[in-house]
Amino acid sequence: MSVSVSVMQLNSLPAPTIPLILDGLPDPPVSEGVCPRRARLQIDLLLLAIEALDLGGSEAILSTANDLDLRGIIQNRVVLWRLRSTNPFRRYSQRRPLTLLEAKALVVITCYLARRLTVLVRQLLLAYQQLTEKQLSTEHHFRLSEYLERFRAHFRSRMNARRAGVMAYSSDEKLNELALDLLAQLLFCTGTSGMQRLWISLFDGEVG
Amino acid sequence: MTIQRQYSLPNCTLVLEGLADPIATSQAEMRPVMALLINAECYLAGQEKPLAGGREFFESLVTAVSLYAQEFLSGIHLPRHTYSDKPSFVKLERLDRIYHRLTIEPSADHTTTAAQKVDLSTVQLFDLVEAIDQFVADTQTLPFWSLNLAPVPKRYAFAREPLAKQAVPAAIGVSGLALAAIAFFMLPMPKVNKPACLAAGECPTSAASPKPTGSPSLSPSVSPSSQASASPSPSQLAEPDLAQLENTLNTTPAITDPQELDRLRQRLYDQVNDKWKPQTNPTQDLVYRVGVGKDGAIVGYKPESPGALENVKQTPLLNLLYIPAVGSTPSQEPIGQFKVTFTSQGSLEVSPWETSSPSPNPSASESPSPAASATPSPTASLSGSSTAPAEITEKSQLEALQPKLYDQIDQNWKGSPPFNKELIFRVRVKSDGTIADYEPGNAAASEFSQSTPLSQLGKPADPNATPQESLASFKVVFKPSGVLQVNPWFGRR
Repeated sequence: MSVSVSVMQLNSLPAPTIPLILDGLPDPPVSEGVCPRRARLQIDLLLLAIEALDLGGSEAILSTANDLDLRGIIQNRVVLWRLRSTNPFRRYSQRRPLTLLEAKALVVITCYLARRLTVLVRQLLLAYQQLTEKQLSTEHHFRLSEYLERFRAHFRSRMNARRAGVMAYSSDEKLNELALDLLAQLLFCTGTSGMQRLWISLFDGEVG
Repeated sequence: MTIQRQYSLPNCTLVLEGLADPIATSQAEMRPVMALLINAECYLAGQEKPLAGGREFFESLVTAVSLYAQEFLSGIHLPRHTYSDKPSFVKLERLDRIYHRLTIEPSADHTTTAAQKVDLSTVQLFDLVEAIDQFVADTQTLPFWSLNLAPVPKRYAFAREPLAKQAVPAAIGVSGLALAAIAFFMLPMPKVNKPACLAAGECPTSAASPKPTGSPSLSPSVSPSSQASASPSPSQLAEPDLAQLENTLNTTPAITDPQELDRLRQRLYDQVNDKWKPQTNPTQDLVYRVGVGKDGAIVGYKPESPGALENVKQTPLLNLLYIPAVGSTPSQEPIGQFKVTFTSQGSLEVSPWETSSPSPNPSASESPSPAASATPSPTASLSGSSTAPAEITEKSQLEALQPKLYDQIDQNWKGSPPFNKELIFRVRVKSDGTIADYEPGNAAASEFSQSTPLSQLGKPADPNATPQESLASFKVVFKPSGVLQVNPWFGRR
């Protein structure tokens, strides 16, 4: 009798529901249902670019997780740090996998934050284009050089400089190029289908 | 009934004209469904005339733009022909960090007769993508159109770092090869079989038994072109002279521009992959160093793995080889060098060729290696392999090998560590960064060596064997917390 009661209780526990917002992103046929290396790297770098654009970026990531009802996946700051540290470039890279569900949550947050920053992202990209046409350095645009400087600082403080992949970005110039590439990719995340496009692109070259 | 739909963005306006579906349209509906596309116009900022055409043109535009947007995000190129067998009139390619070139070939369906080229900035390109995405999301306009986004399958993709940045270290590798090529060049040509110990810096300086000649070495005194023209013309034979092909690789200047190399690599892959029939799987991995001209033609190759020479006929390399006209001197145009591997599983891998030898360091001039010295008979020093090669202790080499080893172990170390004490290993690494063997340094290490990636990456050290080549030793520590430490075994000097 008591046994059956305990079983009943177990069954009545609410099953963890998948937030509706993640429904638009399909599960790509990757092995073991976890994210490939490039996806882990790319997601973290895009978030790093957002943090360099927006001073309150790291807080915004958490509050967006809250707003979008993703607290079931990203409970707190520590969990967020663990998920982002699946980036193999990280100084304290975690040896845990990043599940597709966790990656979807991060992608949704990235795209929401990028959308909020659309105006700034466009301005900076146009500024870079104009500076290049006039053959001026990025230092001539205050907001752009500020972004690049912050990105370099974030990257250097959080990535493991002993890794070959990170070493490729040892110069200011290379890091600026990475920051500008990420800025352009963030623009593509702001679009009508940006979220789907970003999500699918993370698995390019990884499916059978 | 004709309907017009317009999707406007700051740099791009898309105007679609089509017919309403007469059955589905009801009077009550505010916005009837456009079921058939008649004409599409795409107005781009800075262009006087719109890009315009019919259904075929528009399909081609949407497909090309959509695929390119994905390539832009992932940095992975998908060859067009693998996606669709329909003819494509629209092509997009990257020009530089800011600009992208949209090319529209003339077609029956398209209003202009000449090919149109439009250079779009990244922001303009995005507006074009967004106009298309808004059209696709509009359920009242051609509702049967969808994005059909899917990841690029592995077999069509080229493994590379995101944002195409790996090309940077690759370029350094190629320029290193150019320097090594000068060293190759000094030797009598046909005798070179496997230049394992010829590149400056690759050879352990102590074991090379150098005859200190007076020449300070490494200054290329002979101009490459004189040697190249003296060698026999390759086109008389069905099977080209291998030495000649090798010579081409070694004497021509290298392409170092990362974007250029990347483009050539994709082209080479497509070229070889098209011709390679997977049913003729080689029994072992065949590795070749392949030189590619600026136009994508294969101008030379060199077998790099055992069996690669005998089995070259199994590969399409011979057929693809560009043979210059009889009597012409081999061209001196720059080439890109790639490592092409036909694996025994039947897959093809193409990556930029990275030399294992680091760029010559200043100490090379003090004790000339046999390659660098201009002595006519280098055989004496080549055959002197009875003594074990020395340990690699050169600081620059150790510094180059350390991150390679770290990355190899790090990427293969998965799962949480089952041990609660740190594991210490002495790991020996070949000059190209591959792990030769490992040796547990404490009791915990011998107990748990199977839980580390070392058991897959290398083999346990055999204390009686004499190493065939010089190796570098590293101290590798696995900590229970998941931290990995890699340091030179003998410390830094």
